Amino acid sequence: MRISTSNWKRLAVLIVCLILALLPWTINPFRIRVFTLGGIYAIATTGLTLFMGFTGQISIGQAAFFGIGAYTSAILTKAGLPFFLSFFASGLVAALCGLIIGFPCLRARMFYLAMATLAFGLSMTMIFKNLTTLTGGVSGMGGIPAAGIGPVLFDGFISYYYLVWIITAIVLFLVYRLTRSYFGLTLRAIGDNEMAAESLSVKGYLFRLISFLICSFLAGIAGSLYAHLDRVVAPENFTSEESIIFLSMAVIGGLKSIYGGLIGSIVFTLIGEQLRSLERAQVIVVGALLIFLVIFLPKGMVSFPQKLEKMITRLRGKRSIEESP
Amino acid sequence: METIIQQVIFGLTVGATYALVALGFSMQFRAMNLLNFAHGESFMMGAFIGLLSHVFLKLPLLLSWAVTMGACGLIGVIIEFIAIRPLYKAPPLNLFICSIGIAMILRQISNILSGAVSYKFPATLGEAPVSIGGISIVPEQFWVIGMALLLMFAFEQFLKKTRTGKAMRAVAQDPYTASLMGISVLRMKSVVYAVSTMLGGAAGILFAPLAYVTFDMGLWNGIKGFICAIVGGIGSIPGAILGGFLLGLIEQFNSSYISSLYKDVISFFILIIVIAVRPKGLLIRSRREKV
Repeated sequence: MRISTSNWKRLAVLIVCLILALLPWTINPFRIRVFTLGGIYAIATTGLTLFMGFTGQISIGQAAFFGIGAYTSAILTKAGLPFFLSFFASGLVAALCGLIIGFPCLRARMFYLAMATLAFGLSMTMIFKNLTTLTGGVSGMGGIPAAGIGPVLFDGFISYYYLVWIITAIVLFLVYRLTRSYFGLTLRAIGDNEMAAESLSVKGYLFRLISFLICSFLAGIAGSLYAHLDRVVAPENFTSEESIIFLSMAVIGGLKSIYGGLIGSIVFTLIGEQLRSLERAQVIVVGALLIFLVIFLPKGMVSFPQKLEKMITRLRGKRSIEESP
Repeated sequence: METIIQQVIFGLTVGATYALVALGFSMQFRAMNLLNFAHGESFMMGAFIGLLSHVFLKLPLLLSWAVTMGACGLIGVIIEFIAIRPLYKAPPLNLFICSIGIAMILRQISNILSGAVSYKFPATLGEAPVSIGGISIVPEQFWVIGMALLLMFAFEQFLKKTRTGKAMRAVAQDPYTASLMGISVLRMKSVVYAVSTMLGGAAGILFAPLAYVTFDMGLWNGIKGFICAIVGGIGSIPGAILGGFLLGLIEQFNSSYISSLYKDVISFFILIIVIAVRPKGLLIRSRREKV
């Protein structure tokens, strides 16, 4: 029996969901935390994939929005607001900052935009460090209450793992629907050829701005989840190195598919975990892997099946030539 | 008045090193279509190789300059051959990510080798301030500015007068036509990478006495070189130099008159404003794309 491609995809999604659902019962708590972090990163990276992959621009400021979300959530829940509200508030605050930065900067494209967002990220790190009254300065903020929705408190590793991954799944589903909508098609058109899209009276700047806002909103809610993971936030978690990691995750996963962010962040967290024993050489190996992947899988990990298929057909082709008399 | 002149001189000193880094950026961007995140690391390598040859091996200054620039050029060629050459046909974003990988490797290697200790590099002309007409000036500042200007001049002559320099400019202008004229584009790109790494290394060894030599000095200075190149207009060589001096001055006046804590934040907001007002930099007039 031959299974059609869409069914294959459904099967793959089902298997991934099953693995993720059963995972926390088979590994130790520390690993659960790592996988929770993977889910949180996946949300922020998906936002980046949407912005970069679809409109073809570059942003190196994702960690700043992530940090804005984390601090907003930390401050609000410490002030007594329920998690549910602060979760959305942090997304909105991050999106607002995205508007303030994106409004002037999105006139620039590609590397100019990359630099502007990088500059924004670097300044935000310094603001986090020095705005002591609000953010607690270099040492950061502790004592953030556990996440809870109504009477249910997500204070254990396992329960928080499920909360994060359920939110991740919802976000992925929504973003998937979004990319299939008129909006997503428009974004794709802009990314392919902005001038051609504008000739069909698409407002390129407006759509780039909206996708940048969605991107920063997702970073903000991911930041909120991050704040309640260890219940501590510190400025060193939101530096531009982190932004670069987000960017690398998005590119390694693949920018042209909405699953790229998910795959990239899982792979990146797993690699980071496996290489922990190498200590200081870890960064070198990660850097080398980055170069290797960019050279050999230029379209990201999502293109791996296609690449494999091509290789197999090539091998088969060779064999059939050898077999033929 | 005296203090203002002192500030200007200090700003120009730091700006001169930024300008050298920015020159490398600009060249790589124009000739290779590469926005090189690892370029700041050539600055760090220059400082460390200079430190190794001048302080630890006690070579004379000029020889250690030669060693530094030679070693940086060689490392540049190797990096270009291994990591960048396979990617010329890939989208520019991939090249950029690849340069991030290179930067990670270089920085971590120097972290391990240096043991994360910061070193002091001895000043060439001395650090005791000399008073000239009521203005106290550190002689080292003249050395830095003078050497930087000399290097820029030499570089410009190299581009204008030599065969290789002319070929480099041809490749930057139009690689396809250049290849039709019998220029090996690949080899030229390799030369561009090597030369810009050498300039970055020179900037590093110049900057070293002004601050401490640490393994992570490349990141910040690279980003600032980046900013200068963009503020001046990336790809434009006078723009890079202008951007470098401008950023040095702005930083200096910021830290003494506004806030030393937020001096970098202010520089970055200037960058954001420049990008918003003139998306292609100060010296490049951007044509409006019209449908």
